[in-house]
Amino acid sequence: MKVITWKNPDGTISITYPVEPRRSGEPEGAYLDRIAARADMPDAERLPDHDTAALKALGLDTQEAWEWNGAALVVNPAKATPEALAAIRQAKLK
Amino acid sequence: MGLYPGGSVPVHDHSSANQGGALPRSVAIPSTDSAALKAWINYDSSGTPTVRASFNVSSITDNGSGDQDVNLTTALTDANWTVGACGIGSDFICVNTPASGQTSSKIKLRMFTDSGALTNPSTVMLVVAR
Repeated sequence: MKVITWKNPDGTISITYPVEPRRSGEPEGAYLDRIAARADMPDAERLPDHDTAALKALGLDTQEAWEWNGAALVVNPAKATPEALAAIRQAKLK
Repeated sequence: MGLYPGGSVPVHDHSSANQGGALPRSVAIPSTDSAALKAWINYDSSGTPTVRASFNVSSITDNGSGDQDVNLTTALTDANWTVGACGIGSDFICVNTPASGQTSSKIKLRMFTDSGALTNPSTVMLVVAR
């Protein structure tokens, strides 16, 4: 599933998960743009859309430690809680 | 014009008068009907949010542990809505109004354990009325 990622003014990352279905014949890009507009994130910078399968490799529950390095979402270990780091290790083992 | 696409919403009629009858039926609910729920959702907020059932919800934005937004497909008539929300077990949920005020299309949730730690409950139940 494609999700919409945002960089907030404080550097944190938010992720918008679509709930309403894609309309028949609607291109994926237009669909995500529509969902993004309704997410109402005026102060956040929209980052490239991601696939949840790719994010899972980072450990989805570690989102509070994610940063945007200008090209990709990365985990800042200094911000990650021990539980989050454990989740990252667990995710990479899968 | 109704709030909902097509001006009506399917409902299940479990009254005795409809036993054995055709289900579901549809009823029209105008956007100005303050007796109608305008949105609701039941979902698992842990990890990737998983929606069990919902109405008039466009997306869920995850801002971090215990911090999520429920975004509506069709905005409410204004920002003077009210909500009911609860978790399951020992988790509880409150609605966090941002400093900029409520909006007509976003419900901001903060979710806690009974000890006050932020958490993502396995069940979040939310109803929105206006």
